[in-house]
Amino acid sequence: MKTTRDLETLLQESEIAPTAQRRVIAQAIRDNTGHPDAETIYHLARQIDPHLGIATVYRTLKLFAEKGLVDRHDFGDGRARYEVAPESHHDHLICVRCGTVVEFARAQIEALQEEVARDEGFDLLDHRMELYGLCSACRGTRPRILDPPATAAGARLVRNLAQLAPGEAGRIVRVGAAEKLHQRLLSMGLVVGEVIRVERIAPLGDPISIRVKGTSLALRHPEAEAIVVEVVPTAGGRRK
Amino acid sequence: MTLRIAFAGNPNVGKSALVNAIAGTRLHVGNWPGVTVEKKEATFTFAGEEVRLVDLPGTYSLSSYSIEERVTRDYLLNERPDVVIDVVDATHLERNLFLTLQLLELGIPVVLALNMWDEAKERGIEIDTELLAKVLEVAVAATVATTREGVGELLPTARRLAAARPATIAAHNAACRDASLAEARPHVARYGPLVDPEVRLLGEALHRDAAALVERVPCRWLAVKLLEGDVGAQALLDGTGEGLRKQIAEQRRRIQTLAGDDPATVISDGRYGVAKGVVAEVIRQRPIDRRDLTELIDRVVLHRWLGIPIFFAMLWFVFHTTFDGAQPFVDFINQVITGPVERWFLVGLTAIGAPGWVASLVSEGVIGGAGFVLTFVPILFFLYLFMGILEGSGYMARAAFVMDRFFHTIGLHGKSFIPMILGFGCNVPAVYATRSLDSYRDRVLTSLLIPLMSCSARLPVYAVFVAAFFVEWRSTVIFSLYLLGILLAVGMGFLFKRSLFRGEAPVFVMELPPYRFPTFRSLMLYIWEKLQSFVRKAGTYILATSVVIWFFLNLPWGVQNPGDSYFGRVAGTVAPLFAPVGFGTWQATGALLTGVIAKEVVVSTMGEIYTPEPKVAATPPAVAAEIAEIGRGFVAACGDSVVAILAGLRLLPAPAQAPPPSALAQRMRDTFTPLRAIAFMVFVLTYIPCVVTMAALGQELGWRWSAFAAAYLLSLGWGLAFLTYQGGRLLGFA
Ligand SMILES: Nc1nc2c(ncn2[C@@H]2O[C@H](COP(=O)(O)OP(=O)(O)OP(=O)(O)O)[C@@H](O)[C@H]2O)c(=O)[nH]1
Ligand SMILES: [Zn+2]
Ligand SMILES: [Zn+2]
Repeated sequence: MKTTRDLETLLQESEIAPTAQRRVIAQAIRDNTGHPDAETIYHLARQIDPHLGIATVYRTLKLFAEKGLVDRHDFGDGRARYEVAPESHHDHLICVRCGTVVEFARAQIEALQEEVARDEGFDLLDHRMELYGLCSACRGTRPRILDPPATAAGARLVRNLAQLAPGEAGRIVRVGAAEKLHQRLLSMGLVVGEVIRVERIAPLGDPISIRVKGTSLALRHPEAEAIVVEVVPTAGGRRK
Repeated sequence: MTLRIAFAGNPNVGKSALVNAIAGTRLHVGNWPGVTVEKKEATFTFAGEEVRLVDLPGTYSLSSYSIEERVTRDYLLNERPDVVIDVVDATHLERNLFLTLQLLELGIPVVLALNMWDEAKERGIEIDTELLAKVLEVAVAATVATTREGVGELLPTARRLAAARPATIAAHNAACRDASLAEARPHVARYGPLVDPEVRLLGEALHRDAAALVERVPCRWLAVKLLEGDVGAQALLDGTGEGLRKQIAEQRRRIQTLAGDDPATVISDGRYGVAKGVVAEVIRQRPIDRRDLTELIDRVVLHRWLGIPIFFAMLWFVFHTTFDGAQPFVDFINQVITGPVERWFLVGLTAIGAPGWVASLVSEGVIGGAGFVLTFVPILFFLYLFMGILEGSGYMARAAFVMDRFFHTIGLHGKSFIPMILGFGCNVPAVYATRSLDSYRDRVLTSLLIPLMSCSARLPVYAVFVAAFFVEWRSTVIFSLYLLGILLAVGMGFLFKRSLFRGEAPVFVMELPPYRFPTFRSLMLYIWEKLQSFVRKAGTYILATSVVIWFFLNLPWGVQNPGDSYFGRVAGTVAPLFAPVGFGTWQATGALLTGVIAKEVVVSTMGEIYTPEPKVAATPPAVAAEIAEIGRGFVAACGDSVVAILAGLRLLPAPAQAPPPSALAQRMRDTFTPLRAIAFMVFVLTYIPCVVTMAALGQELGWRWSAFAAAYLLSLGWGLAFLTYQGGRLLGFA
């Protein structure tokens, strides 16, 4: 969410000494309307000050987060994302395919959350809500949205196949490949509802091998990314 | 009447093994018309009746998205064999049934061969074959292709079914029109309450609006494929009314809206649903998903750090053993052909009073050419032995898995690595090794790059020049040439990927089959198939070329000096073309021309042209003694082969190398300069590898690609030599 406050006020409010470098980095985050990761912020900041180092950016972001100038998010794609701490609360929708983040705020949800906390005798300090799915662009022509959650309480972790670590398993939610590949994947047993497990990643990082219907298949990353799964717990699974 | 039986099944289910077990050496290997997918056929008599077997390519489905699928589908639709023997892997019944269910829709009687029965038993999988037969309404036979257990049942069963074929087809047609009959078959091709009525609806419409088509093509199969949106099925509709197409679009939209997913997915889901149901009913003990030996081997072979070293070790072993192990046999064949065999022919010809030129034609043209073809046989024998082991065992897929990332960048498949590396030994087996690649595009691209791998026959050419001009820089120069070849291959790979094969992104979805021991019999059959097809096809072509060249060298009649022959005149005519690149003499071009036959010949031609030596007259032979000598020679070659292989593995000291020719080197210094020598070597590296390679390319990819390869290699070679020579001159070298 884009903030209306100017830089000086931002830094002052957070009690951060306004050095030139910090100003540049704060400005880079403020001017980006999305939820940039450190890498992106570094590139944006470099456009203002080409002498900036990546280490400085990381250090400064850490400081900003500690001082509450920015909010740090983990949307499960392995990189932290930042936004200027908003004046009013909002929640996020995250596309598991392309990483697009959409902000939303619904009074009913906020009210419901407070109600839940109250009923359980909680004093609500803060909360985060992240909804995972496929954005309209990634969904393309296929109108089917993810199945409703299996249980209302259990939050489902949705990933594409390329994001799973060896040993992790998932139930196929969607096979989003182009027609030709789609047919091929279907005929090899990659159908919605099937539980598949990532066996290993090739020594050079690509392709990966997966276990489906009792056989091993090798897939390259682009193909693996087209397969969206809901992570299912496994005994041998270890998270990265 | 001939009983026509087609074998269909998923890849790696042991289909080839099964066909081999039945047909053995009677198999005839060819290509499917228009595509380079291998077609294996056999015709023989069985119990008084003529039987024709056709081995269809392995496929997972009957759609039209890969060449294999199209070939299989077209054959089944157009040729309508009497019986289909569907080979399934009993250990993976569920996935295999996906294809089976589609075969059943064709209405051709099906025999289900539950292969790998031994492995299934080992894993505690018990399949109720009688129930399976009843549920799917097919005949079922449990088989072990490797030991031939149960294989004998297949043909009698097929014959029985063929007799009942008209009834089967009638039942099929009735079921497709009559809803109540279709309901009566509990499992076969049911896609759920959403799709089934649509299939029936479309079936009726097809009978109404495309009656002629439905006479040829099974209507139920067609209806399902059309609803799936299969392009091949849509193509069949050409010439029918617009109304049918509209109806299909509407029905597809209805499925899409109601199921919330595209029809292809919904129908595949339905098929797997049936497969799951069947499996649940007929399998008594669910298989345990354990990978045992395969998992253990993969843990090492595909290990993050060990995977690549193991792959290279394997490659080195294959490379080394193929070429070193074959060399003694190559020498042996050479000796036998140019020694006793040639003499016998000459003596025979003299005895029947043939004129001198016939003797010369036979000895130099025919025997020389045939001998040359035969010298490739030992190399190809070893090559196919290893390819057979690597493929049959399941390692080939792993090699592709390990190397794919690297090759993907230049637009190739991981499996391209093995052919490319073999190219350093000899381009001919390398081109044949591209057979292991699944897509035609990959095979063409890889084959086009193989000639840039500097084969071992080019080494003697470099050696002569290096010995004459760059003694101190010997290894650097030779290494640079090899490196240049590799860089050119990478560059051309990029170029071809961007130009010739733009837009065709091949998908990489490959099964990693469990490790298995290939059987001796299957290996020998595999080698036999390939070798005889090489000798027959490439052999004829090379023999013809060799005879033509002989005429060129010996016409007009009675030429003494090769420079005056047609050959010399042709060489002299094209020589000016090579002036800008530094070697515009007829001798140099002549050597290059013969080098088109084989690179080894460049050196010997140079030897003959630059330092001619008189021919030795034939002496009458003692045939019996010579045959004994040949026998001893073969035994010695076997021994030498073992020694060479062991020596390469550092288990024995290496045999001594032959010294390079030196008189020639002296003469070379008189006619070439170092710069010209480099330009010449660069040209030798890149221009047409040899007729055998070109013949192999023609055989594998078609003559158009072979001609393209020749053209592009010649221009590339000329261009590079030009750059080298003129560039060098600009820098002040001579
Ligand atoms: N244990 C066992 N192994 C078998 C059986 N049938 C085949 N094999 C082995 O399985 C491997 C694959 O067999 P192939 O005949 O090459 O399989 P295919 O279906 O022709 O495979 P593609 O040529 O790729 O379509 C070989 O190593 C065979 O020796 C069987 O019944 N039992
Ligand atoms: Zn936000
Ligand atoms: Zn998206």
